[in-house]
Amino acid sequence: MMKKHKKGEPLFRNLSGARARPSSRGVRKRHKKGKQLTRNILERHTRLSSRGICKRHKKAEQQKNLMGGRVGFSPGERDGIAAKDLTSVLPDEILRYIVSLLPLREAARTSILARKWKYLWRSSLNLNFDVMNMTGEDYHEELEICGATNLASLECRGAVLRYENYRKYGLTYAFGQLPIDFPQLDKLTLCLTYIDPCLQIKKCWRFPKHIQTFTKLRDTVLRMADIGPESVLKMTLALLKASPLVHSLELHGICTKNTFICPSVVELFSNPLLTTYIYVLYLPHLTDDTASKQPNKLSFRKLFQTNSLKKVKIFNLQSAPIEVQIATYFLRNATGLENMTIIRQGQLYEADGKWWEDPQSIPKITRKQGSKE
Amino acid sequence: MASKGNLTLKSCNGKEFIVEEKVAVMSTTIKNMVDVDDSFAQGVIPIIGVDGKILAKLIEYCKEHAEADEDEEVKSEEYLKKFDEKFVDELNLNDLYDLLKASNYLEITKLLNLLCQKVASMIKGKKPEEIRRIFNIKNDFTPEEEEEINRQNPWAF
Repeated sequence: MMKKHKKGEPLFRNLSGARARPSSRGVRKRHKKGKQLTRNILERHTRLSSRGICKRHKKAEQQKNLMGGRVGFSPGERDGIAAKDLTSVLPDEILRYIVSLLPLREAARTSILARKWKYLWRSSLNLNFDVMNMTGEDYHEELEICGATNLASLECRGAVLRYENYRKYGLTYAFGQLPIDFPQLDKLTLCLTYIDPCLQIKKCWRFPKHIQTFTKLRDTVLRMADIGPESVLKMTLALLKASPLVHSLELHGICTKNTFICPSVVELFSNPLLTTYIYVLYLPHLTDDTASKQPNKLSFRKLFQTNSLKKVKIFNLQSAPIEVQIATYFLRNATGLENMTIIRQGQLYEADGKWWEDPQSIPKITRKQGSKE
Repeated sequence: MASKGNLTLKSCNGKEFIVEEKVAVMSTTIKNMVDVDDSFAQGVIPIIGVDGKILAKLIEYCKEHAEADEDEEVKSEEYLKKFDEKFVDELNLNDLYDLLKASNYLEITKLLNLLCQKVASMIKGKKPEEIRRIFNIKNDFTPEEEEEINRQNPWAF
């Protein structure tokens, strides 16, 4: 978050360019088609977020207790005498940084504090578009997103990217308009973390044909668990081609037997620009029925001897032979591998600090453990 | 004059502190001064706009972190975390502001981060009125303007 700065300058420059104006580039999130599509997910969302709110409440409560004592108050201040105004004492740059540490929803709320605060949150260098903390339970709200042209780090999570028929958002926006709106973007995180089988089957994902160039992007995290495995690879490749400076990529995706015979995999792993590469795999749940239909041996493409793959994390590995093969495959081929993590549960980072756990993936007690090589 | 390897820092109200160089150079500003000009390393470095009380706090923080960077076994990560927590918890609001300004000026990135996190945590989960009260922020909006802001970002409120 802290970036390198020139010697002798204060840590925060005055970012006059970042001074935001009320933007007409709004995001209208009210869409009839989208509504139909979301009902199902919305229910789950609501359930999860109400749980989340309880948690948040607890946290706030704890914080209150923590702050109850001397923290932040000298006796005089508590009586409201002679305490200085935070905003008049601290430089804008520091306030801006403080605001950027808040979840987006709370950051936006600071605009009501006083005149000085009105646009602070909009010029923050780091916005976290986590749909859960942006909109709470009902994300069919109209969103007005700022014109923070100096934004260096952006995270988009959940439904913001889900429906391309939203006027501005969706993947079409992410790949078409994002680099134009935020030309200074250095780090980009795109997260879609529901595994929704019907979405995958319907192939409702259409990627824009032309991807704008991300001129400064160096660091990318893609968590596209929703999208079919092959499409994720294709999309990742397209993004890499459009970002000449990218050197670090973290890719999360569902992995099937087809993943390893897909030609995109070869291209992805042999990309010479990437120096750090992290691959997080979610193995699809195998029922006893489908497990028996799986081939005993995977025909992997003789694809890569890669140095750049540093870290592999495999979720939902239940020791079926095919799954063990996938794991050993990485051990054999990734010569630069530094870390491999195997997790038996199927879980995904949802948003707002919460995880989604696949209820089906909890290992059966009766299951025989396959021996690992 | 400070002995070799030590630097003398002078606060704006004239208090002098002799600190080890490795502690002082936690501040990028001081590091640059010493790197560029040897005479700073010999004489007294004036720290403009920072009084003795705040400077002592800064040095306390830098000392712990410089020692931890040098020897991880004695001062573990966990120890540092506890130290940081205690450090920010003991500050009153005025000291917090002064430290924020001083660490920005002296470019002590770690401390600046820590303090900003602290302020953010004080804002988190609170209603605007509460935040105004804690930080003594005067609401200078007219009721109409306030209405307007509420209307602009309905999702946030």
